[in-house]
Amino acid sequence: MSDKKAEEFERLVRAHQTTLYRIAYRLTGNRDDAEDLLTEALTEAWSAFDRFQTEDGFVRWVATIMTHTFLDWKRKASRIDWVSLDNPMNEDDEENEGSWDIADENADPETMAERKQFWRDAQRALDDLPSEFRAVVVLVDMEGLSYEEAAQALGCPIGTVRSRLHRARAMLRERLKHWLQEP
Amino acid sequence: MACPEWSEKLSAYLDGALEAEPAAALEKHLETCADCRQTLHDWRRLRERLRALPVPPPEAGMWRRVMHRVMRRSTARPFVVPRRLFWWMAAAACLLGAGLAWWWQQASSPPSPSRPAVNLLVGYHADTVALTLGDCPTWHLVASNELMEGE
Repeated sequence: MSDKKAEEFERLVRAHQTTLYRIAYRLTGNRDDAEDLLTEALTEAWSAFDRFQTEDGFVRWVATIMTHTFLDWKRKASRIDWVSLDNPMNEDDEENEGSWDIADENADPETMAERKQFWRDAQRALDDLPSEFRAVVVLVDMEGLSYEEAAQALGCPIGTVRSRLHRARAMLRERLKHWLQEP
Repeated sequence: MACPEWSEKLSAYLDGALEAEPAAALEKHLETCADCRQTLHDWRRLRERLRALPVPPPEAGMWRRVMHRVMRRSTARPFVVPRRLFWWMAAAACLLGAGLAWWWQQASSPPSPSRPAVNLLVGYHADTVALTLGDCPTWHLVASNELMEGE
C-alpha cells in the first residue's frame, strides 16, 4: 500500500489509541496480552485497510477484529499464556499496583485500598468467566455497545448476546455480591 | 435471586433492549417482587463499577513496538509453521523424500524381467492402442478402434 495510506492508517491509530488499548486490556486483563492482541488486530486491519471506508467506524472495526482474535486465542488455549506476566491484580506486584494510583491520586488511603481490593476481585471474576461471556461483558457493560453492535463484533445473533450477557451478569453478581451494596 | 421467568428480561430491561409491552409487564412485576428489584439494582451497580474499572497505562514504547511490528509484518510476512504442526510436516517431508528417492532409483535402473509389475509399455500401432502393465495378464488392456466400432 502507498505511503499516503500508511500515514492515514497511523493517524487513525494515534487518534484512537487510548480506546483501542482500553478494549484490548479489558479483553485480555493484562498489558502483555493487550499488546499482542493490538499487534495482531492492527496487522489484520492494515492488510485490509484498502477496503476500509469511513473514519467513524475505525474503532468498531478494529474492536471487532480484536474480539475475534481474542476468542480465537482462547479457543487455541496453548497459543497464549493467560497467567499474566504483569497482572496488576497480583497483590505481590508493587510496581504494577503503583500504576493504578494514577487514576485515583486524590483518594484517601482507606478508600484507595478498598477500591484496589474491588478491582482485584472484579478482575478475577472477569478472568473466571468463559471467554465468550467475558467478551460480551466488555463490549456491552464496559464499552457501552448496543446488542446489535456487540452481535456484529462477536459474529453471533442478538439473542445469543442477550442470553450470554444475562448469564455473565448472574455469575458476576454472585461473585461480587458484597461489593454491590450501596456505600 | 430474580424469578427465573423474569431474569433474562430484567437483564435486557437494564440495557433498554426490551420492547414496550414486555417492559411494561416487567415494571408491573417489579412493583411486587423484591428479589427482582434487588437483582436489577445489583446489575445496575455492577455495570457502573465495571465501567469505572481503571486501565493501567501501557508500558513505555508499546505503541512504537506495535506499529513497528504491524508495518514489518505487512511488508514481509514470514511463512510461519505452527509449532504443533512442525513435526507432522517434518515427518511428511521425510516420507515424501523417501518416496521420491525410491521412484528415482526405480526409474533410473534398467527394467528387469524378473519384476514385471513395474514395466509399463504404451504401444501404438495403426488403429490399436495397447497398454500393457508388465506381464500380468489381468492388467493387459487392449483398446482397439476396430473392436470398439465392432461392438
